[in-house]
Amino acid sequence: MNQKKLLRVISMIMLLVLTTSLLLSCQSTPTTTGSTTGQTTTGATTTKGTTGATTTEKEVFSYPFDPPIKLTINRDNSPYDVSNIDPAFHDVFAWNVYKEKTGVELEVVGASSGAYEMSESFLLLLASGDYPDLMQANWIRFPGGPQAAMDDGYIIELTPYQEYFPALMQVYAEHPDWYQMVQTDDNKLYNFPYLRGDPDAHTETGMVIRQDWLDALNLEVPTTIDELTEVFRAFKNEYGLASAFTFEMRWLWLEWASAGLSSAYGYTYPFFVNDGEVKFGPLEPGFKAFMAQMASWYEEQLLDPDFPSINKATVQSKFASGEVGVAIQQLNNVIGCIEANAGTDYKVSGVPSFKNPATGDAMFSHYYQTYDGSFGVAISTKCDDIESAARFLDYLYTEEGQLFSTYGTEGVSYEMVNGEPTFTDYLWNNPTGATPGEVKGRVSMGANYAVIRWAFTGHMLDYAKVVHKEWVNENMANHVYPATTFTSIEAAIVSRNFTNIDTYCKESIAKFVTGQWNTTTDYDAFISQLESYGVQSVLDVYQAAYDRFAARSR
Amino acid sequence: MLNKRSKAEWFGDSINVMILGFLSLIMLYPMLYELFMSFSVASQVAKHRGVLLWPLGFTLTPYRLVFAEKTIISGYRNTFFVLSIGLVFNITFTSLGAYFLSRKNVMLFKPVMIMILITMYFSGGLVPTWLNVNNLGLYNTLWALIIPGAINTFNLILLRSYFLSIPDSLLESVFIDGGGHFTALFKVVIPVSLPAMMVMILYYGVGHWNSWFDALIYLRTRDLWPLQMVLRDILIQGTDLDIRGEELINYEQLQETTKAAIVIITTVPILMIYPFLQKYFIAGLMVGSLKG
Amino acid sequence: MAQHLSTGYLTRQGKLQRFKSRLVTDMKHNYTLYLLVLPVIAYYIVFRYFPIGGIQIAFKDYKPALGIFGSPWTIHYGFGHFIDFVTNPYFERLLRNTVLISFYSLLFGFPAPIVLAIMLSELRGRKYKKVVQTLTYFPHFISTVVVCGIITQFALSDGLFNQIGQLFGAQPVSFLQKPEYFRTIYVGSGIWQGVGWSSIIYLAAIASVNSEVYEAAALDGAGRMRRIIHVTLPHIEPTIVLMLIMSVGNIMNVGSEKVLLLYNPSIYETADVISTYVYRRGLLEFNFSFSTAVNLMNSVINFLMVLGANAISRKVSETSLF
Repeated sequence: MNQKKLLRVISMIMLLVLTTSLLLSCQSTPTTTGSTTGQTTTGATTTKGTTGATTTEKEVFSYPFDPPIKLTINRDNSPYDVSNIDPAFHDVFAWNVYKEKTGVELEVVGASSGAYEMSESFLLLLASGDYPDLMQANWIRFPGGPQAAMDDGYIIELTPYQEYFPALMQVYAEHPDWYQMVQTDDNKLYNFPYLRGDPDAHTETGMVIRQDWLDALNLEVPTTIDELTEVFRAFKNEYGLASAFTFEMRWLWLEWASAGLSSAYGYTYPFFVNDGEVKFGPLEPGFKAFMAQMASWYEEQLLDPDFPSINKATVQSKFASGEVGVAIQQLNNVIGCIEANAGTDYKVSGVPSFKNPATGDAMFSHYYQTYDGSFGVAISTKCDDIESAARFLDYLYTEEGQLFSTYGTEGVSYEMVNGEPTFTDYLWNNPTGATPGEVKGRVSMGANYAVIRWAFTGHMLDYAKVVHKEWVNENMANHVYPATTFTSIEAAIVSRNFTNIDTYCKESIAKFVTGQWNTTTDYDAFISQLESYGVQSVLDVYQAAYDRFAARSR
Repeated sequence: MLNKRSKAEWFGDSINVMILGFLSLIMLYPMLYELFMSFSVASQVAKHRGVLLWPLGFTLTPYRLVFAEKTIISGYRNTFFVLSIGLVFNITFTSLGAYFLSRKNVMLFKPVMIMILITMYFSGGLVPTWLNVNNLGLYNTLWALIIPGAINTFNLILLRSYFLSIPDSLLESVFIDGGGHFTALFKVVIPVSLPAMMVMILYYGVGHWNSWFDALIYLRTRDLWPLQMVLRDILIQGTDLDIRGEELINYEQLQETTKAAIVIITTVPILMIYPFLQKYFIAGLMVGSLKG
Repeated sequence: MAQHLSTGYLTRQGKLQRFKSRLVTDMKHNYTLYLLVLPVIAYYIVFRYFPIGGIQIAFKDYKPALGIFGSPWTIHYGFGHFIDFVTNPYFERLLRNTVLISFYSLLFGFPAPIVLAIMLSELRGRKYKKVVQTLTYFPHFISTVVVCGIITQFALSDGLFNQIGQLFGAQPVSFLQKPEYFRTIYVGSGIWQGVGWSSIIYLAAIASVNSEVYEAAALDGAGRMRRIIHVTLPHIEPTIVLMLIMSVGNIMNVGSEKVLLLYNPSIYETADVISTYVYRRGLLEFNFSFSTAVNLMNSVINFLMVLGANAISRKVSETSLF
């Protein structure tokens, strides 16, 4: 058993103890949870009365709501749709279980929003004034930040309603660093967050290489850029490839997905933090050298010429079929490649972050923050039963809810072994022949919702674990620019200047790499253009926001 | 002399025939390519280089994948709803307007005409139009694709030109028989304008069939999406298809053949009514020339 | 004459009175007609004039929660968004891209249907003519989404364009990734899709040329080219001028639809036009007022262009829209 796992077990146990003690301390009246009496007296209507009556004892709330209630949410498809799912899973399908356990049915109104950008249909939904009860979006990316979303009357501030989400507050109490992330600079809470609780979950993307090809050519997994170039050339020549390396271009600027590679130059896009100082990647010296290197790969056709336009499925297909020997991919897609080649000699290895020769260490890797705003659920101003909405969302942060959202149904997909939840054979060898990942996708809540995620599918499979562990880079946590929020003045500066800068940088990166621009001749013009777009003012804003973030209560 | 000239004419003619033949090929080939691609086997597509002249192997897998997409079915349903109900609105409103504008000796003719013509050059633009539709409660309903576009001013003017060409004597007879304007319009004007009506159906119909932007901004529920929105999602946005396992190796190619199948099945309805429509192009041509 | 004199003596009051009584008579006489047109007028007011009223948000900082009227006026006496756009570092590029795409569309796309119409009219075999017409009209009926989907496929580095190119020994290029190809793709596909359909109007005009005129020209010994230049073209000139004026009016109107379907950040340099930028800033950043302001500016420029083209054509060729 490794150290991390032990840590996780300990933290889970602590959580259990703390939650129960909290529950006990609240339980001034002896009510059995889930009993019929409890059910009839709780729920939306009754507890509303108690909020007014301050003198009477507080009713203890228990799930499920009785009678069941309905809440609306912006999602494209009904989560309860099982038409594409093997009937064998219908009874344990997570959303159905969730509906039963909470007594709340979600009705979808369309207009789902993106993980990092508010989708156009969602912004139009906001403009329409006709909001659902719950609004799932990345509220940090709302123009002007979550504060503006509250000020403009889209979502409500949650802080005054803390009593309705005790489990989440308990989680914050145990994780002050999380609490720091989920509030505004004025210490206001605004959504039910999606939290990546598992430390391993921070890194999900990285460079993979064909180990069987390396073995055949008597090569090692490259640790420097020069070695990497040699591997590219060897693959291209020995296997007659059109190009050796592919990935989606957007990963040059998204989620630090290519940071493991650019780590060799001490550069990543867009922002990172070094000893409390915020840096903008393209202004750092490593940017130029990295661009030059990419351009030379592109020119030599070691890098796939289609990389600007392909999507992740195409990358997966190219890497699975042996059209390329090296790719940057998400772990799930790597698993797909391995499974598609099951029974052959196909073997892959993860490539660790490259060390910067100048400093001798690797600063970056792909990194998902514990909280980055994605998939958070807020309560809209049009919700007329705030308490029920909050209690419903709180369920998945309770001890029971966390176990359910991660492991599924007890006695089916997991069992408690020595106090630790353990997946059963139902998952590992399902009678339907579904893969463990597929089974887990059916029985647990997965991502894209307001939950704390603990065990990740990708980390459960041995052949994925070996890839994943190479990608993890502890240094990255010290350099990540956190999910800060801006004041409305700052937001205006960022909207006006950074939109231009970001577009310009993305275009310029594409131009440098594809050889339309040359780093030796066009770099200075690039930098002075950035300055004319006000990059310094943006950097100042990011620094100020970071400083406020660092000063938030924990 | 005569002989010489006809030789030159003959030469010119054959050049003309050849160029137009080549042009027709360019017009046709992309669709043929999609047709061949949609029946091709993905693994063979992967190896193929060069121009496609026939399907590479034969498979129906792409079509199976297309019909497994529920949104395509609902897309067809929504498009047909918008098309049929939309046309009723289009034809009724446009005829009413065109009839009024084709009457003489009406005092308010000029103000109404000016009011209509102004909108050809000035519009509120994207955002005010959107807000207006939303305020009217049409957001996220299929009516948003039908009612705001009930009249296309250009078509209205075209139809008016056609109505103007109808001899007054035809209408006089209705009025003498005691009929009013309603009778005149529905019993005489519309029936004698059948070719023009077909042109209107053609213009509006093609508009409804091909439009997607209105759906993008007015519809948030996927169940309401018309076919073109679904297409955009799959063809342009590259929404992943449900492909896994061994098929993954040729995912890229399978995706390509599937996209081709989608192109084919969404173009087939037009192909089917195309010969029927074509004879009305001439009528459209007449309406068009009357305007000039 | 007598009537003219008598109206001259009428007082203003009397004029109004007469107008009123005439209107009442007209209303009585034509009331079913007015009843008939009422839905149409209502339609224009509700769906065309209400949005025009909404243009005021161009001068405001529109917040959905506050509504159109409740939103505050923006800085610089309401012209903040206009100034913001004009001083934007991308303004020049957006303007250049928009105008250039329009210009090339006009330069190549405008004569193409005329040439096609003349070529078709010169064809002798009626059946062949029918086939060519059928095939050239057809792309008009394929939706933009499908056309762009096909283009995206063909433009890949292993797509059809490159497969043809390789037959001639060209290096594979990912066409939609290179800014220098975007205008060609945009204009070329536009012509492909529209040339047949647009030729119909010219074919109609050519069809109305009296065949005797052709015969007379032939008797005079005029060759094919001379006949086209001296008989056909002058005859369809009014149609050409009208169509040209209408096209000029759209010079700032490179629609966002097709560009949105085709572009990506690596070709923004040539592909990003005013309407797409407005779409990104307006809808994706929630800046409705800004978007409306730019639209308004566009409409005004377009309208001025039409007026200009109209005035010029009235002087030069005595043909005009109004």
